[in-house]
Amino acid sequence: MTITKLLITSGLIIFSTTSFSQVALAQEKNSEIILYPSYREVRVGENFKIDVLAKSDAPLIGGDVKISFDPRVIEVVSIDTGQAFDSVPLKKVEEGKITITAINEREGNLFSGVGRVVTLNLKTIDAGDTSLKVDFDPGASTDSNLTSAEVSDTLAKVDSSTYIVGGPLERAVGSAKRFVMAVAPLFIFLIFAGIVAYVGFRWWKYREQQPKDVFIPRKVPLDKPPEAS
Amino acid sequence: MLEKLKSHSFRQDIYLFLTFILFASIVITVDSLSTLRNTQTQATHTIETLLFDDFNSSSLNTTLWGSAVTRSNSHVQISNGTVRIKVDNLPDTYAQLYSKKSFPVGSTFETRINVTGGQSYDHKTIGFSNSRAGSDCSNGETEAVVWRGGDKDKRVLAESGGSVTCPIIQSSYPAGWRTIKIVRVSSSEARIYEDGVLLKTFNSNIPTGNLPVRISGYTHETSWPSTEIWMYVDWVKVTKPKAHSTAPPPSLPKSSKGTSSGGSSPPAAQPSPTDATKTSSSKNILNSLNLKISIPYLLGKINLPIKFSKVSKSLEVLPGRVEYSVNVRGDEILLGKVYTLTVGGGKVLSKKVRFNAKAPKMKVNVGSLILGDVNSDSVINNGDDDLFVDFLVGQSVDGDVNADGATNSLDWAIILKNFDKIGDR
Repeated sequence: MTITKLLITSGLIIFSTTSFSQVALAQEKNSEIILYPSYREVRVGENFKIDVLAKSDAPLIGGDVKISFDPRVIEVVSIDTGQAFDSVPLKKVEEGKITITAINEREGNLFSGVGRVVTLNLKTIDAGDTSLKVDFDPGASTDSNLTSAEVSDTLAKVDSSTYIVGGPLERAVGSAKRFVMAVAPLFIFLIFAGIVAYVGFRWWKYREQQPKDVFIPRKVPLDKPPEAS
Repeated sequence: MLEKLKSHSFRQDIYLFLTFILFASIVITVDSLSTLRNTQTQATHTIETLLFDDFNSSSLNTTLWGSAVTRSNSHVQISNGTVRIKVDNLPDTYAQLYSKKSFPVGSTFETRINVTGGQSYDHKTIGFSNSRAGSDCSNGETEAVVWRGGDKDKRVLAESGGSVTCPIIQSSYPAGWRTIKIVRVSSSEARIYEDGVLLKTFNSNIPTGNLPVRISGYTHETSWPSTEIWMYVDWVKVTKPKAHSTAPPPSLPKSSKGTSSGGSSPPAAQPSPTDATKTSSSKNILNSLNLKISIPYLLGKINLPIKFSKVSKSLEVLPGRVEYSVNVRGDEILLGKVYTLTVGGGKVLSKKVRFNAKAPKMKVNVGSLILGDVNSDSVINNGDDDLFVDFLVGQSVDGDVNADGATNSLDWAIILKNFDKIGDR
């Protein structure tokens, strides 16, 4: 009887320990990065704000957010620090990519819940359908991360957002303009290549039409006189 | 005009022109699509190997390498998996090995090389360089970032546009294996490491153009060293960060395949240039150390300095791997003595472990090492915090504590996790 009780108690302890650790693990890896609002219609030349939010059950010590955007449609005017973390030392905008790192300055100072990491102050510069995309590859440590005090990336989900800039006609014109800008170098190259090919071909034909039976003198080394033939 | 339009010759011209346009269109479209796809791929900071050669072939791969020597007794030749560069001890004599390909800013050059010790009229350059070594820092190359042996001294050199910086790092440097790494970080920064230790960060006279990698030795215009200059090159690797997630993993140098990596002892089959006849099979000598090391939170490869007695090596430590073997056969460490092994340096707090060398193969449990010492002062404190934030803002790899290729909040978390911890002094 005592042995049976001992076995049952041990089994329960093992089961509860395993279950709790699995729950803890599941809770650890469930953080999100949210862009708010995720959809908006704006006019060309209009300023608008997007909040970058972090949502986490696990206590966070810092986070990295990398956002891709189309610099032909959207311009980043400024980035305001939010209240989720103590500071945002890294705010970098470069070639269609926003890189942000926010940190809490002491280990005891942790963030959990939903909070604003930064606010992006954006301006539309051309019409079109565009989006902000948070770079996230599960398992990677060099993209966006929400980092717990236990040195673990807890980020499990990210949000994308879509923005409609300008009316239908403006968007169509904007798309056409960008297409023309994209293919203009190709056309210039083709025209240049065509001219080169045409001139080359004419030159080759000219050479072909020259009489072939011409006298070519033998090469004579300069350091000795020609041999008497 | 109409007649001309109808002529066969003119139509032939037109057809040829149109065919060319069609072909060019296809090529450009394919190229544009490829570029577009690349720009949409998310950057994951993988490493692209631009050049790797472990010199295991029977002869020098002449598609990758060029060589040049003066004097019949100088040579550049492959033997036992190394390239052996010999410069005869005569005036105005050189030997050099250089890559046929040139590499841009952003490239990293690494090599494991055994060189003879410094002596008068002995000049060696190892790194990115447009020409061979000359008889002093201002001779020879004109665009370069190199490790330099200049007479008896170990120097590093950055030179561009007629200006040169060439400080002395060490006087009378010894012979032996070393791993040299040169990072062309940007057009305004270059770094030179030896055995994982940063020798110098250059911020001026940095070349901006593409440069080949070159290993060269030279004597002097009118004088000569007392002994020949030798350099054994085990492997050479040139890499560059790549913004694609689909890149194949770079080949590992052969020294990393099994045991000691980046160590300073030559392989058993390759005697030291200074003592070609030295044997190390004596039973009274320590042959190898099997170290158990773990570094929590490490995500990439680091070179970990290891020192005891006269041994000074760099061990390539990988995440998840615990056991490492270090070949010390060539260092003639006597058995029957107690040694203090110091492991760590750089961003890893140093740890000292005593062991009694009882057998030629010794197991030493080093245990866990601590990351986060950004300023390498053996304590993780506010100094590391402040410096890390500077590196974070500048996105410098010097702040990359976990060696994953990015300076970010994970590195910050490691520093805070290990805050106030102190290394063994």
